[in-house]
Amino acid sequence: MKAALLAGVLVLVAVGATVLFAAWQLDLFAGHAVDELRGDDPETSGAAPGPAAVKGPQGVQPQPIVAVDVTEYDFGQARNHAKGFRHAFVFRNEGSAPLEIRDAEASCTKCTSFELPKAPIPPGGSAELIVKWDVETLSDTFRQSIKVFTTDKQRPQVELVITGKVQQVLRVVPAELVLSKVLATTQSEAKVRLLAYFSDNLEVSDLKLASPPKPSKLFELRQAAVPPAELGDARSGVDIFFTVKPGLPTGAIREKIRLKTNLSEERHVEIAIRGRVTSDISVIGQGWAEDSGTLILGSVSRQKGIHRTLNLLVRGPHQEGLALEPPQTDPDSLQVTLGEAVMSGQVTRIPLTIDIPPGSPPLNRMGGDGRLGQIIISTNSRELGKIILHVQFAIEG
Amino acid sequence: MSKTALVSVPLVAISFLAFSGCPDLSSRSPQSVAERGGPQRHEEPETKLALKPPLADAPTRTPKPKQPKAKVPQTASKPAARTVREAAEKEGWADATDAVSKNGAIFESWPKPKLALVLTGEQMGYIEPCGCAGLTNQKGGLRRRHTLLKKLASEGWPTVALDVGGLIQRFGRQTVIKYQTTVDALKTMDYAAVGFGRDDLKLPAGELLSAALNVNIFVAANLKVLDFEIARFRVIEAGGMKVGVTAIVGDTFQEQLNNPEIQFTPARQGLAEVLPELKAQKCDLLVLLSHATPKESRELAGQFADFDVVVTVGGADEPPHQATRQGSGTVLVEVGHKGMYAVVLGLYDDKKQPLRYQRVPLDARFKDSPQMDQLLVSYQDQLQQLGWSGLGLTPAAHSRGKFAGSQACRDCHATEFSIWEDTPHSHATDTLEHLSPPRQYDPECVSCHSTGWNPQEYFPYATGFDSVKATPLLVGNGCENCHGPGAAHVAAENGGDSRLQSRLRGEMRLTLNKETRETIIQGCMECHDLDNSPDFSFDAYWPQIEH
Repeated sequence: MKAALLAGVLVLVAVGATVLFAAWQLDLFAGHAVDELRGDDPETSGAAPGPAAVKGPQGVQPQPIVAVDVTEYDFGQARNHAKGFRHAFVFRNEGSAPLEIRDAEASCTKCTSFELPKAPIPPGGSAELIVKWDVETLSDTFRQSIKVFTTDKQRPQVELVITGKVQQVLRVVPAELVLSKVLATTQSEAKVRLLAYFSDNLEVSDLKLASPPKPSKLFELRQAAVPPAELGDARSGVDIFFTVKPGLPTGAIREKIRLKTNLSEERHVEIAIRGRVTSDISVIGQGWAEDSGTLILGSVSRQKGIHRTLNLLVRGPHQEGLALEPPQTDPDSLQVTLGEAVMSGQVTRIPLTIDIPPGSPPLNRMGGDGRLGQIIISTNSRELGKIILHVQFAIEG
Repeated sequence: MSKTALVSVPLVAISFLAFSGCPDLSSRSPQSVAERGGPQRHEEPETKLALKPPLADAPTRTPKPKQPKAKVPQTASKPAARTVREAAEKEGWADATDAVSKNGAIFESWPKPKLALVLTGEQMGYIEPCGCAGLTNQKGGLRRRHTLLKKLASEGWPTVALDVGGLIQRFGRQTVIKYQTTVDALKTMDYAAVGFGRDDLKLPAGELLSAALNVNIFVAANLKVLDFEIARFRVIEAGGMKVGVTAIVGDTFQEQLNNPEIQFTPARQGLAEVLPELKAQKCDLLVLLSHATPKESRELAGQFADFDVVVTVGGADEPPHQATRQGSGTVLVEVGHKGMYAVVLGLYDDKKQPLRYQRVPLDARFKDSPQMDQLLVSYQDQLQQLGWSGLGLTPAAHSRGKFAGSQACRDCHATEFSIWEDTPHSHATDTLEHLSPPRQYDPECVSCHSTGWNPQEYFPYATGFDSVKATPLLVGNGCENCHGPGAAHVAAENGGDSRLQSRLRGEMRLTLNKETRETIIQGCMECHDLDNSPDFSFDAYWPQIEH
């Protein structure tokens, strides 16, 4: 298969013997196949070859014919936040009537703009369409297209493409620090790395947590220089370590790191921290609200009933020898069944099916009066005791 | 399918020029993998797809492919964009005309392919078109993607849809629901294989398992979730072809994760282990879904040259206009960001042109899929049922105090209030209630469509908007979103401490001048950001609300 695809590529290459192209970039799509390519040398001009002049059929009436030799331009390396990059695409008129560049539209209007030729292009003449690029992106790579609308009836649109590689002044990796699973009984630590690409001496000061009203004393921050061997393309870097000590209540972590750097363009930096603290037993599944320990079923049709599957996940030392009693429920219309436990390395998973059968009597356990439904699962563990799941629902209809 | 049948595929070009919302699609359901494209397996080796002659046999002279012409009915006196609109209106998909005009025709001159690979990835949580302002100008969304796939199926194209992962971007309960919704959507869309993305793997492993165990589409060659093994590869048969697919998460992304319940092996090791098994399946085409940096993906493509197609994440927001080739002949495909595009590779029994490439902008030419509509309604229902607390959104204190509501401003600032009242800001919450489905329970919408929320981090401040019923004074994007919480200011004005009054007036005041301009604009762009207000220009917008 590979040979076939490669051969296919090569055949297309053969279409234009004068083509100069980047080794990794080929036009495989017929819609972009070319009649002739007269592009500049991409290595010297940054331009890649694009669709060339398209000659429409000559009609009785004079017609404009648009020709653009090079439709793609690579700005090369650019520093983020830099402004004022410009490139002139040359539009020629190979027809017999004046060619108008009526309008253009960029795929991103924030960073890409253009100046259209001010006057119609006479037959045999040419004019420049200026594309301007201000570098504002978090991506390493930039690519935008500009649709140019012309009065050439055979080629009413010409698509221009600009590309570039973006170098950030400062990169925060990852951009948001997420601690996916923090056990309440265990210390956890995570790292975010600040990399400077134009400074040999990145410094961090005023490192602190900024979440109101005040950060937990169970959180700690410290910093260390990134080892030179791990800098990659960066010139200097600082690692920020965020530590969570044991003892946090279960629930969400929502914090924010604030710091200052010695980089004039990135003086103030904020890094969001997200995470979740869980106990050794947790529940997963559709409708489970972990923060409140409640399965939210909402309004349940008496005619249809409802069926849900949750999973109990047991971690840590409690897994060994753990036995669960058949669940008790309140009200009785909640029917709950435990499935076979599946042990898998660090975790034991126990399926839990919950049914409210069709025809169950109407009732309200939405919690407005303080009452919710309950599922109680007794264990043989003294530490775990009973596992209690709340269920919020109302049977209606 | 016999060899004869294979070569007798009608080479009738399907006009996808405008590729509209296709009114006849709704009754069609996606075919199962087993149903697609006829028999499950080539019986004879010679029936394998011969896309090109061997290199040595490549013709020395090849006719130049003709420049495709836009298949737009032309009139001599009208400009091109207008002509496209006319053609579109004639076909009954007027709302798509701007999209076609702006983003171009697709599948021009494509005959029916033997197999179409539909490649997506890095949805990044954008289950709806990227951005909420002017949907017709935005691209992406599950509804449009489904319509594309249904259209391909309705045209009889054997299709295999693959996603390289990166379904979500953030963390928290809403993200979990979004992930589950997306997985349900991919299953409904009959995706054949889906990889895990870096941000997907930030989710608690249990949530990933909940999604992965309920569907049979995930694939991962170099990771386990909670020690549960995911399918290391998948083999899909469609169009008389056998497609082998595996997926990896790159080493760089692995290092950025803090999820102790995901066990990784290096990408190279994972592929070295799985490739012999995959090759033993004797597939016609091998595809690697590489959730890695483009650099890593290129390196993997070079090291594992058996893969015909490597789909990578990273790169620019827009996929390239052409496929990219590695030295070994592997086709490298970038899928772009935010689910704005799908990339379609068409495979042909055509020696001259065995492969065609099309990036498909998922714009307004694709009508909304009713099935995806239902999923999005369900998504909003779940948000409503959970409420802010169920979503883990505990109100946080605002550093500048408590909110009072815009009505409280009215007593002293009647003129300013009446100006605000006539702007869209004043009925921003109302806007959410009248959307389909309504979004007034969606934190990602409410954060800018009400008063007293953090607009970029999607959580309420204490005393900020809760609901229309509970906090009616905080509906709309009110005064305090720009000026800051005003309860203390209001209280001071009703008291007698003139120094306090003066200080708090100063804190509330926003004076536009050379020094403050950038700060004020930054405040506007908390909501008028690139996604949600792509045309925002302070100079153009400010006169509309100036007071």
